Order: sequence, then structure tokens, then C-alpha cells
Amino acid sequence: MLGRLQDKTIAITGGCGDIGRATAVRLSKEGAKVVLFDLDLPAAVKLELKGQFDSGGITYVRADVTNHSELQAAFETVVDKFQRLDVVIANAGIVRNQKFLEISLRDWQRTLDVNLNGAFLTAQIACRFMLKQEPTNKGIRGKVLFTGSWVQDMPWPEGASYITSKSGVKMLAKTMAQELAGFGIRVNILAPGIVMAGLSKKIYETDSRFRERVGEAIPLGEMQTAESVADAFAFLCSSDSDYMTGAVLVVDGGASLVRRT
Amino acid sequence: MRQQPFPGVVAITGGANGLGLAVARRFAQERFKVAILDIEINAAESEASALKINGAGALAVYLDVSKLESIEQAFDRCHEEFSRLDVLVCCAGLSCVKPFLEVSAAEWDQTFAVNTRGLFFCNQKAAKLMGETGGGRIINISSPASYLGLPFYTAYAASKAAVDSITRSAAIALAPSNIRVNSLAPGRMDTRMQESSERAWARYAGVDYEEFVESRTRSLPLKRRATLEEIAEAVLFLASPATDYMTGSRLNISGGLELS
Repeated sequence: MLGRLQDKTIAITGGCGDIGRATAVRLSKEGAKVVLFDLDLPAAVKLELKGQFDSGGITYVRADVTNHSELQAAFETVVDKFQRLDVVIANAGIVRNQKFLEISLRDWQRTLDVNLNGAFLTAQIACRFMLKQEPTNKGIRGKVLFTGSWVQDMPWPEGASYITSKSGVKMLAKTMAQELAGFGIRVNILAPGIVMAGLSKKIYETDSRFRERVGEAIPLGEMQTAESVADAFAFLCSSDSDYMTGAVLVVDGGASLVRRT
Repeated sequence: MRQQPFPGVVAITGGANGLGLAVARRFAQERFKVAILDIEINAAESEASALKINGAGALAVYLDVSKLESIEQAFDRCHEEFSRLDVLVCCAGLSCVKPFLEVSAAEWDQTFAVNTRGLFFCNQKAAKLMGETGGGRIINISSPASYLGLPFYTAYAASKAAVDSITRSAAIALAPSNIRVNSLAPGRMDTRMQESSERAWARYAGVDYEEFVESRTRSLPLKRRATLEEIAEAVLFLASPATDYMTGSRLNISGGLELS
């Protein structure tokens, strides 16, 4: 059966993380060729995705989103191999929860380097490739997607660096959407809630206070699965969302609805 | 976590025309049982028959969303026919184009009676029925207008801003009943309502209708209007298992209209 994303080439930064892997699996199931960009390919990931690596549905390219020339080379590898880049998902991100008064300049810069500057570089390099390719029959040269966050519009304790970076990504995406609309490039954001992944997963497992806070913060009462993020990305990658640009798709179990005082 | 049946039973207010009809056809294609609720009962009946000819389960029901007893009766009728309700799509709406200084109390009340109060009580009634069978999805049609300052469109824009607010409150209130509530803001489409609004708008602004429509379309970041089919596709997405973790959210399929 032909999938909704048949033969689309999709690159995702932070591809080996929990959201990256779940998304890659989901997209490849719908027929896409997915390229994981990440700092390294852990043996566990290699094993988990063995089937997809063997069939060629998923491949891996080393890329550090804070390194311009390396990122440029990674995109060149993708375009050389697949002759096209349909979608890029700027997903690489780090979180460091710290009290405002204790954030060092180095930590602050590191978060912004990966989450905001890395997203900018990823998007800009990808767009330059996309602008050179022929548009689809619906006039689309490419789609740029960002992993935002429900906190991009809302403070969360000890999250200054992360939240500032995600809020910056939001305006980056909207500005890009406006500037590039006439060139066949769609730009949208997926804003997940509190995902059982990465740092949140570790804190969830060790900190009972965090578990309580999560229970109160999410109307749907449970942490988000990486698969639910992947489902939403599949929609944003597909032609079902062709009329969307500059938009934020919030899939957060209602977390952003709850007023905290 | 309990998954709702997909396909299941969908009720669509304003389902006999325009966007509502496109939604009805798309859900029928997906093998949903479709209830078309509309004040134009003749149109609703002929569309329901057309769906039936194509093999879908379909029902036409009279609904005037501005009347509480009509809402009660219409949803009870759906429930009697299909024994359950899984998805509600609230498309019924009307537009009110009038310069700010000329909007009358009757026009204001009528806009709110349909777009806001009617939608709220449809949400409420549907939620009661969905609660009986373990949950469901509610999709409210909002508008980019709710984010914009629109001097000829004050009542409409305000009524849709209220829809966004109802959606957020309903999402929290109904989460324990396993009901997801989201809104969708479609961009400009070619529908009867859009045409009559733009004709009135052009008249008040003292410009040629064709030129007005052309310039409003050209000014969109994507330079074209939304098709009914692509909006219907997104409504289906909001009813699908893929969005089970989404509630209280708004999906803008507006070609970037809110950006400009």
C-alpha cells in the first residue's frame, strides 16, 4: 500500500532522541525516507531501528546543529543521496532546569545555541536547498517544521533558558512563514506538552514532587507519549496540512490550559 | 486508556451546506455514520439521501441552534437512530457584516444566538450523550477573525473569540469524561456565507466586489483560498486516534492569514 508520505525525504535533527525516533518510525511507516541527524548513533538505537535501517527507510547522518559547516555537509549528503529534501524537522533540543539566579552564562548560551541558533541554522540551510528544487503539483517546494513546546507561551518554574529558546523559535517560525510563503515553503510548529522523554522522563522517575506537579498540570492526567508527537508530525509532513503556514499545532493534553499562580 | 471507535457516529451542525457538507462527505467516505443537522431541512435530506445512495449510514435532522428545545430534540433524534455519538462538529454559523457604528442589538443577539450560545448548548448536549458511551470528540469551527481587529465584522469576530474560550473551558471540564474538545480556524473559503459577507463588505467599503475578493485573496501569504476539502481533511484529523492527546487546542488552517 502506498503511504501518505510515500518517497518523501524527511530529515530530523535530534533524530536519535525519544521524539526523534518515534517520529522517524511513524514517518517511515507512511512511506517516507527518514534521515536522522544527531551527534552520534548509540548502539541501542541501532538495534531498536535495525529493521528500518536494513530496509533503508531510516538512515543516519552525523550532524551537530551548532556546527555550521558540519550541518551544511549533512544536508548535502541527504540531497546527494535522495535528490530532494521535502521536509526538515528542527527537533534537536536540550533542557536544563535551573533557578533563574543560578543560571551561568555558559549554560544559558549552550541552551540557546542548540535550541534556537541550531534551529535557525537547520532551517536556513534546508530552505536554501528547498528553494532550488521544483515545486510539487500543489506548488510546494518544502516544509520546515519545528519542535516547539507548550511552554513557549507560558512560564514554568526554573525553565528560563529553555522557555526563552522555544519562545524565540516560535517567532522565528512565524517570520519565516511570512517571508517564504510566496516561494512555496511552509513553516509550522508542533508544540507538545510534558513528554515522557529525555530529561522529563528521568525527573519523573526520581522526583515525586515533579510527578505531583505533572498530575495537576495536565487535564488529561497523564504524561504525553512520544508516539502522540509523532502522529502530529505525520499530519504536518503530509499534504493534509498544505494550507497551514505560520501556525502552531498544540498537542499537549491540555497542559497549556491550566492557569498557575 | 479507552480509544473511541473510528469510524463511529458523527453529528455535524450546519451540515447541509458549505464547510459542514464537505465535512459530512469526508466522514461518510471514512465510513462514519453521519447525522446532518441543519435549519435547511430540505437540503439536509437531499444530502443525506445522496450519502445513503453511496452506501453510507446517514440521517437528516432539523436543527435551529438558536432554540434550546430544537437542540435537545435534534440530538435525541440522532441518538435514537444511531444509539451513540462519537464526534460532534459545530459548523453552524452566520456572519454579520455591518460597520461598527451601525450594528443593531438584534443583529448582535442573532450572531451570538447562533455562533456562540447555540454552539455552547450543542457542546453541552453532545457531551452528555458522549459521556454515556465513554467519551468522544468535539470540534468547534472558529475563525481567524477572532484574532483580528475587524471594524465591519465586530459581532462575528467577537462571537468566534467566545468559541475559542468555550473550547478551552470545555476541554478541562470534559477531560475526565474522556471527551476531547478542540477548535479549527479555517482560512477564507468559497462558500455561500463567505460570498454574502464579502458582497456586503465591498458595498460598505464602497469598492467593487470582484476587485475586493481578488485583492483579499492576493494579500494572503499563500495567495489562494482554502478548499473545503482540505479543511474537511483537517476536521477528520481532529477526530482521528492520532489526536488523542490533543485537547483545548486550536488548529489554524488559514494559509497564514493570522500572520499578516
